[in-house]
Amino acid sequence: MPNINLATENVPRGSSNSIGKGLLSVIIILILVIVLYGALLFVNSQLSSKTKAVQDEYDLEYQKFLSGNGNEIIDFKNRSDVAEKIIAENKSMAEIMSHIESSMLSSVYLNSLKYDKTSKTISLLCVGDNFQTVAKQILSFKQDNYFSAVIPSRNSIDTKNNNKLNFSIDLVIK
Amino acid sequence: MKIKILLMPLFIVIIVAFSIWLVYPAFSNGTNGAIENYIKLKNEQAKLIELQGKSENANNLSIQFSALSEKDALYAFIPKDMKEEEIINSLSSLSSASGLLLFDSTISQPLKESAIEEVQVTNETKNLFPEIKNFKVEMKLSGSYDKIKDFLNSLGKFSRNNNFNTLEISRSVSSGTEETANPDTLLVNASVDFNVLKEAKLNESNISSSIFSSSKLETKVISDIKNQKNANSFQLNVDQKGKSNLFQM
Repeated sequence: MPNINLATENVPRGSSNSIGKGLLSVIIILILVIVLYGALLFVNSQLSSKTKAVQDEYDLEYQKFLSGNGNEIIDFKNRSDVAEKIIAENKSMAEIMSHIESSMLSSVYLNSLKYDKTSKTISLLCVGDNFQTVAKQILSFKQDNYFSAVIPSRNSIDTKNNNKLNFSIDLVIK
Repeated sequence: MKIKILLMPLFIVIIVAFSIWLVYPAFSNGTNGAIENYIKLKNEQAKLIELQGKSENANNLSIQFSALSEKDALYAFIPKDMKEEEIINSLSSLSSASGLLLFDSTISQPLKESAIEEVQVTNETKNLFPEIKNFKVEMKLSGSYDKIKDFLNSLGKFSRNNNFNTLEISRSVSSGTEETANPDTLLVNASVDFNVLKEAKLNESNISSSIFSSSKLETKVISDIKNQKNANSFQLNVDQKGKSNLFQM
């Protein structure tokens, strides 16, 4: 078979060399990837053991904290919170009485007074001279902003008591 | 030569496969890769530092609590136990000091224990602390209006928290009609709420309470109590006890 060479000049025979270099690079990369994998496994195990150590220390500290003197502190906190709420909500009976006293007309007296915390209502059974007194008394209570509502109900003349007028008023505290 | 040509793409495929299959999951896989383990470690360290801080704060708070002489005002305001005997003694002392006659008193117990526990299970999971329990003390007194006012004032300033549930003041009609009754003798029928609060215990649910975030004990509430209440506490002592005949005076 005749040898036909169409090349006009000498072509260098470097292709096998470049393949060798490329292969070497790929092998180096492969080794680096394997090393990286090994390093990651090592770092992972280190992180896991450190995490475990921290968790153990946390558990120890947690148990120490629970069995320590935190009980009296947490009780003090709870009691303080409850007390604060109670103080804000409490209505002084003396204060309620003083508001009624300051609004009472001199010509009116009470037969009874009933206070109910749930409905925030004071029911008064009053005795006065006449209907005008009743009207004045209602107005007097209405002029005190301590009460959110003044609710009059029955008024009746008591013949057994010098024709005095018995009347009842409900006061709702704000 | 042919093998050399084949080796390169083969190695590239191996590198890519190795990276996808093993290396990247070791770096991050959503659960226990290096990144996740690092984040977990940092979180655990942060939790530990926080707990150590709380523990240190708790020690500081405990020292302040031990040195706080005024804390008794808070424990007298809402005690841990019912102390019924103290209530009876105090009511008797306050009424006699005001010049009133206390002639009837009844102390009701709070809800039955089993019922309370059921309520507490739901409440405590919500609030993480024991709930306050109210109990009623009903009493009947008689005396003049001024003395009643004095008594109401004294009870309002009494060191233990109490709150009138109902109060009825009426003219005494025992000696005649309402109109002829002596205005100086009034009858008082009252129902007063006292309360009791069980001791709170530190547990896993309330360990994150805000109190441990600070090293300073907040005592404002004690000042508030002292502004409203006086240090009235009537000492009760058992003088003599022991008797051979139970039915003899």
